[in-house]
Amino acid sequence: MTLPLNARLLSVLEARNRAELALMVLPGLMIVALVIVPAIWLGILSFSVDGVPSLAHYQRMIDNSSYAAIFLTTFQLAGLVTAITVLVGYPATYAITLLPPRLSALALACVAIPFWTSLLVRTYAWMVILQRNGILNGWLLDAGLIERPLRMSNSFFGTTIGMVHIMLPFFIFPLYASMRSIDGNLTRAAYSLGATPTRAFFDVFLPLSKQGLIAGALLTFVLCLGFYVTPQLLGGGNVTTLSIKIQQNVIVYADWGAASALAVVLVVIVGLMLVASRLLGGRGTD
Amino acid sequence: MASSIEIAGLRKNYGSLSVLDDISVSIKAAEFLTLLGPSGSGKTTLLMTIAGFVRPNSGSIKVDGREIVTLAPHKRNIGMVFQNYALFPHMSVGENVAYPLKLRGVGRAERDDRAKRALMAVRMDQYADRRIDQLSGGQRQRVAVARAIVFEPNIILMDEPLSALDKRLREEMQVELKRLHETLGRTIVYVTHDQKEALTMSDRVAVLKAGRIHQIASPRDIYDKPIDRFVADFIGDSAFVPLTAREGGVDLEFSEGFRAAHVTGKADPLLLLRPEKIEIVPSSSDRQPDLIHFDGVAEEVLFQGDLVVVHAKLPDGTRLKLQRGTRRNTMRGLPDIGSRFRMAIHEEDAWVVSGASAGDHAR
Repeated sequence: MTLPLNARLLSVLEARNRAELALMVLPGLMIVALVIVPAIWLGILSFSVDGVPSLAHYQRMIDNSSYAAIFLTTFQLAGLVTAITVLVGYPATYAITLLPPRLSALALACVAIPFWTSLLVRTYAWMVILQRNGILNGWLLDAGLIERPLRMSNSFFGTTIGMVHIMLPFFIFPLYASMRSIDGNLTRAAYSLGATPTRAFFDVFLPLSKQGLIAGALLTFVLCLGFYVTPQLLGGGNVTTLSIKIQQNVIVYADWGAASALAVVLVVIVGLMLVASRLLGGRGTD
Repeated sequence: MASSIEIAGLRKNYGSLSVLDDISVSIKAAEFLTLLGPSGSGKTTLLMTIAGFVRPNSGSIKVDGREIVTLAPHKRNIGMVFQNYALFPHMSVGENVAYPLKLRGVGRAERDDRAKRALMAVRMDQYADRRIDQLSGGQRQRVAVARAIVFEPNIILMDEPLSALDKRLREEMQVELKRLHETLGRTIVYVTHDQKEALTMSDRVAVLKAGRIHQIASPRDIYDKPIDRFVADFIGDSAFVPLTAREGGVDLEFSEGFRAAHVTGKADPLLLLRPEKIEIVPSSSDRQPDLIHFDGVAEEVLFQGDLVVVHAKLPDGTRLKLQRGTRRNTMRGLPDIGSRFRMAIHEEDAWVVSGASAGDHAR
């Protein structure tokens, strides 16, 4: 029997391609085993009490008024931190894009270096700065601006400051990438057509950076919703967020079902927000 | 209405690098002036300086006698078409074109009407509701032009507006822009590195090199009477043969009249040989009075459909191209590859440039 020209050689190559594809199954299985299975397991836990199917964990969230307060605190904190991050981060990022290349690289490094430093270290640093006899209170007292130390740590206020600091890079980097992709000739075109610099910014630059702004703000908000270390340390027990409640449920009450139910609610909320932003963003530019 | 532009002593340095080196030029109202030059010659910088995006170190730019060199770009009222069109991606075609009118406080109804008329001028009025990313390159180009003319500026600047288009579309748009220039009657300053485009469209062409205007003249004069070797080399195909007798040189005979008009007084005179000006003459023929004869060896004979191009090597090693049409009479008498044959150029078609490096020629 004669095979068509080179058919055997070509089929060997084809088989090799298939073998390479098969190799990809391994990482796929790892993801299933390490991420998807535990997530499903947590989901199942949240719908059962002592191995019996039950909605008790979700019922408790509605019945117990302390949960409403926790959700409110979490969203207030995330909302406030996101708002401040946007208000501080947008002009900062815009300024970085206007710098000459060398300086803008330096400015980005200044954003990135704290980002590489341990979260815990930065949070403790804020504790040192904000505490009752800390650096900031010392300065304010010395300057005679206040008569007795302000209560900044162990509070919502301190938590907000610490979290804004931690969130800024998450907002600045995607926004910077998006601003950088805006063609400089577009604002020039606006000038040539008669737009003042302010007008050109609001008519052209801002709408075109909107995508990056929304993406960065969303990322910040979602990260804030699940944030644990900073509210725990800078809140000093006075700020109870969802993540802190989850930790308490597991460590203090050993109630995995209750903790899982909160996690499921958080995942659903984040998922809905992502879908909503998709729908909102879809109408804008590509 | 069109405005005149008077530029004097314009200089721009980036550190020690001089991008504009004492540029002076006066552009007449309703003129189509092209700035032509290799990259780094300063042509785009000059355009950007007129637009106001580059601030010169010194010099003057007057529009209708009024100094604008210190004026912010948005106050200059100069239309501009950018190389990559710079259309606003978040606005529709119609919104893009209406934007300059909106900035000028023109009411909605009039705005729409004028935007539509501008789009009609570039045959894009059917596309007013389209998004920019739904347009082809040529269509974007047209919209960019409509946006630059809609507020009726007296001056329109164009920065290589056709460079992103394919050859056929580019040639089509050249004709269209030229027609638009005639109907609008505005002053247009156009930047390109494409010499054919410059010759096709312009009233005058300014050839720039290293931040200076090397020569400014009509397309015919730029092509036929280049001021020096740089301009001759930059525009069109060209070969140069020394006219001074030297060892191993090409023996060229020409009339005393030609010598007096073109050769005398030039340092290192070079005969400019363009492919379409060279004829093939029978080797046996006697020397005709108006022709400058020379012999060469054919190295390649290339058939290109509309043209046949002969690559020849002269005795002194100079390589040149000559071209003829492909009609039956011009296809006869082509030399065989490797054979020696005789060429000639008519003295009226001939032009002599100085080979001495020209730095400070008059503009």
